[in-house]
Amino acid sequence: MVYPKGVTTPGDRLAYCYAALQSLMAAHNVVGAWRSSGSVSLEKLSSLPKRWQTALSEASVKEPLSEKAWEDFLQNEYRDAEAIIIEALCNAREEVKMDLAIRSTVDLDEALSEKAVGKDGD
Amino acid sequence: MAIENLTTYTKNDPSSVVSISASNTISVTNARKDAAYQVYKDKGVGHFAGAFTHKVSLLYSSWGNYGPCGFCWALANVVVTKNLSYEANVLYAGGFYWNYTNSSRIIVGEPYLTYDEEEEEWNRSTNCDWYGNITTGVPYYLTIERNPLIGSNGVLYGRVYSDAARTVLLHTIIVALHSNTDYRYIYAAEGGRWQDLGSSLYSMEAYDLDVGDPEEGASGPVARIGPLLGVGMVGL
Repeated sequence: MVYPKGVTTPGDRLAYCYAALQSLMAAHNVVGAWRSSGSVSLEKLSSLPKRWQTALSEASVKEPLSEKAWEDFLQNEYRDAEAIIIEALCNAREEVKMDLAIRSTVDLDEALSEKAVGKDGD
Repeated sequence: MAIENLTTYTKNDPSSVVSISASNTISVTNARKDAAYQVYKDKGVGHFAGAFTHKVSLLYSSWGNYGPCGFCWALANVVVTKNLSYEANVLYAGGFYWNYTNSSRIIVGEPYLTYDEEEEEWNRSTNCDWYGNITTGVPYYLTIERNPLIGSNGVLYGRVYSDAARTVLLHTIIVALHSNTDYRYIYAAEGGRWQDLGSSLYSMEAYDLDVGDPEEGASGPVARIGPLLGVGMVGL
């Protein structure tokens, strides 16, 4: 995962990874709508990652994405992109958990003042 | 590959809340939170190893109050008669009602053990993530995938979709795993807690479980187009 300038702290990276995951989901659903509804606008197509556009370039935008093209997309382009983001997200989540700078700012009395914390129901 | 034939699974249901209403459908009706039940199959030692992709659909018609509402999928190396989530090295997915925020969730988890060197004892922890605010009467379509190539022990994804074709992705649940265990048993339904949580009842349907195995005579997927088609559901 390549982070933009300005994304420097563990918290920044975690927030960026979650945002990237949301963007990935939206892009997935553009292709999913193409598969299910039978067409995709050029505007929406151009919003997809360039690699996805290349991989899907032989499909007609006026016809439903074929089952093979859809399965190939899920198994390759989507899965690869998802793995990149999720690996970065897991790393960032660990970084945040272990971040002593953040932990040192926690005042439990203040954090718990609004309402009692529920016990873990598991 | 193929939808599992749930009539070939072993059912343990002392509270009589579970019915296998079709070869592909398990209905849990008016179950107390402490009602233990299991519907499982022995697939053989190490059957679920490395990377896998499983699919299952889930529909709740009521949650009751507080706590877990039954699992629709789990992998384990043990057969339990109560509370699979208290075992270590188990993977599970199912519903959870969080009464502190009045939100219902699809939760994916991995109970695991950590060693406390000061106390010189093992403690159970649960590693989990969820998709929140799901709605009763609405089916959700899960794809649960283990990717063993990420991190030390792999990551379990729980992709939640709103349609059976899985073209509309609602959320991806992410659990970084503490062990890359090979599993033997698949649970198609599991419920029950140690605590007596009173008469809080829930009802759910788990159906169209596909664990990537070849067909063994199960019926095909059943279309669910809305809450009125829930089989055997009794609202509270």
